[in-house]
Amino acid sequence: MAQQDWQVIGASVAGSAHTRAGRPGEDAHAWRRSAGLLVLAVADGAGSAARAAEGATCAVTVAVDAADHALAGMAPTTVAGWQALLSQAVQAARTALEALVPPATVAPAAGALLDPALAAAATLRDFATTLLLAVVTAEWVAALQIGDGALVISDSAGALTVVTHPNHGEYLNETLFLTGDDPLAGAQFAIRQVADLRAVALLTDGLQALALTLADNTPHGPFFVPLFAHAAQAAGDAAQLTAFLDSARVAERTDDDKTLLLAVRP
Amino acid sequence: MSDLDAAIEFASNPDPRCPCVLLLDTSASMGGAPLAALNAGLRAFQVDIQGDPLAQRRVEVALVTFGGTVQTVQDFVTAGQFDAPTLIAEGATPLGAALDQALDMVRARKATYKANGIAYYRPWIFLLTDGEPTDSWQQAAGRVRAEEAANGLAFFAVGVEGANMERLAQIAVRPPLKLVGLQFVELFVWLSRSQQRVSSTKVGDQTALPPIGWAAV
Repeated sequence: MAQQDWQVIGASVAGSAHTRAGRPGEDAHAWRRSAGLLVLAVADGAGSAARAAEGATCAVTVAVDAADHALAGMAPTTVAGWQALLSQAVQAARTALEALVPPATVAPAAGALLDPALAAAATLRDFATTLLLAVVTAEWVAALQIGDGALVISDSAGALTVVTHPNHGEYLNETLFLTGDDPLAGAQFAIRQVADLRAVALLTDGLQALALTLADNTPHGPFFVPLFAHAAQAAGDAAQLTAFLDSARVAERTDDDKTLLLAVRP
Repeated sequence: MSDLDAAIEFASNPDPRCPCVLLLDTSASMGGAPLAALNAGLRAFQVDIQGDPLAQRRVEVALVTFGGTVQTVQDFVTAGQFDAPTLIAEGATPLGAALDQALDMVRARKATYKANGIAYYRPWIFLLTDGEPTDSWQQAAGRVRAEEAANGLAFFAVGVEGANMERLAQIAVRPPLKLVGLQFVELFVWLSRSQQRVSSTKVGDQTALPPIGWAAV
């Protein structure tokens, strides 16, 4: 039986804390659909990093490109194969972030601290961002997550599963970033074979407290079910999704940037 | 509200918490104008932080005094519930015992958060003193420094006129600050604004605190 193709909608909306501070939204998302394969990514640029929006956009674009490129041959058939593919794609995103950093200046000479051009030179930290990358095939869901965010899937009966979950340190405002010393060391890999997959949701941490019960990282059904139903008949139009993320009742609960990327097989 | 908006329900999670212990010197030497200014500062703190709807749910304040004895005047309450007390000054300066009390309270609070699945921010201990410890303080200072090194809390020390700043520098890892005159109101408004920032959103590991206008280096 020929399976219908995935319907995808996604939106990233700036949080009120960012708008108030005159900062742009620093979340980003990207996706690609090809021949029964789906590659999805979301990223949350760190509010403390000067060029986080660029970092997040670069990370999702490059990671999706790299994964899609690697899949052009054949999809992996083992967990180890998926791990290697995801790791390479994330490494490509990291390398792309490093390429955004201007060439290192020589050790500052006397007076260099007074030179605004040198003081303004960007470092890798300025592009700090989380990254959640997921690949969906007819048989597999494979995801790699660095930092906060979550990946939730649904089967055709509507049973929800959290595949990757928020990953912050002891403190809520400390998470892992793609720009860290060894980002893959703390990464979550989640690779599972699926027989009956109907819907996938990727979200950034601005939505975690609305979408999950955080004490045990379980999905909140009444959050996801209407969203998946909407994605199935939205025909790729993200206007309502954007309006929802921008709504007053979401803003009441979170002042952070928020991204939701939904894929459903109708 | 669109159909989509109307259909979606949110998970209910407890607010993340941002604990802060105020560790205040109420020894006899604080009596008179300093203590009056300190009490005014606490009232300013209450007013300022209760003006921020998110911070008043997320910031948790506890208040420990040391004047003669160590007293937990207020165990942790959310800032919205904080009712500034009127403190009185008496006795010696048992700073060592007060540090131990504050450190124990932070440790216990973290355990409570964990047991209840509540996310939290790095706790603050905010010490204010005008004197010099009259009890044994070295061991407690070691605990403070070990906790700072392990990223277990952020410890701030502020000296009021007359404080032994060298001693404070032996306790705190961050350079202690010297309060200018009796600018307690400015100090506590700054503390309130800092807590509002720390608790407002995920900002990575480098939260920029508001500029300090109440201290001399």
